[in-house]
Amino acid sequence: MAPFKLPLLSPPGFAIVAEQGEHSFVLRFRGNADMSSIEPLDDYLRAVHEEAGIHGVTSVVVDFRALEFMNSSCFKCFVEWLGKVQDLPASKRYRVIFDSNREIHWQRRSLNALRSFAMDVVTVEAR
Amino acid sequence: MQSVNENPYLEICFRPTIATVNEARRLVAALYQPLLGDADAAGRVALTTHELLENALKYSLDGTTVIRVELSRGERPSNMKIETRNLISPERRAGLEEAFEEMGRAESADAHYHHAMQRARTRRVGSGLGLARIWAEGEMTITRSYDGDEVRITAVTKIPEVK
Repeated sequence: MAPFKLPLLSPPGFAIVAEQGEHSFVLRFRGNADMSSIEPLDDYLRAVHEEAGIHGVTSVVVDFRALEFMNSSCFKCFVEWLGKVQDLPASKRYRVIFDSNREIHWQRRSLNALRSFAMDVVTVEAR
Repeated sequence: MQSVNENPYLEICFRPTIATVNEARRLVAALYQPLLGDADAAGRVALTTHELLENALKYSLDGTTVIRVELSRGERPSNMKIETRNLISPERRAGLEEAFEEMGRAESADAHYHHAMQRARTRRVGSGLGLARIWAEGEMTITRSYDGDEVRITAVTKIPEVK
């Protein structure tokens, strides 16, 4: 598979490290997704969606285990992204697998909300 | 009169910034987790603190807000209250009223949250999810009141078992 092209994130205290697998992307989130992260996160998830289409991935793993907090505006970026995945024809759709941290309690609630919003796309795993 | 021991509270008057909203959330979680003896409840309180303070940061007319976080353990179950006060514009007040009216018409917190998420997909300004998230994820009852240009938003939840 050709290498993917994802933007670099530069807001303070927030980072995403991406890895490319054979048929998947892994996005490792770290820090705090707050008001300063909204635009970069929105741009990033748009790029992920585009690259997922180009590379024909079957899943994107979103690793939240080191994500301390995410505000509602950043949460909206995920809502938009998952909505776009849902809108794809079935043959092009990919799964979004959230890897969460049981010790960070907001994650269970927020990820359950995303799962109920996009049941056909989202899987949540807790460690 | 109730003692501070019975009603431990934290009140801060400040000009929130993105960084200090994060610090306030961490402070509230660190102070109340041992008092509540429940990490999930402390997480709900921290989430609510963050969302209310970001609203104040975005909409306070003079940039300042007062936040009060109070645990009332005189009764069972105990009450946890998170409240912000700040000045707002008439336009913001109208938007807030619309948001509260929608919540009043909703079947449940989860149904409202789901509807707000559907709408957020195409919304261009703001997320419209902050209060819905506090209601559904924070499991808070949210009310508002006004005193002139000042709005007071109060989020309350019951804490069944407090250490």
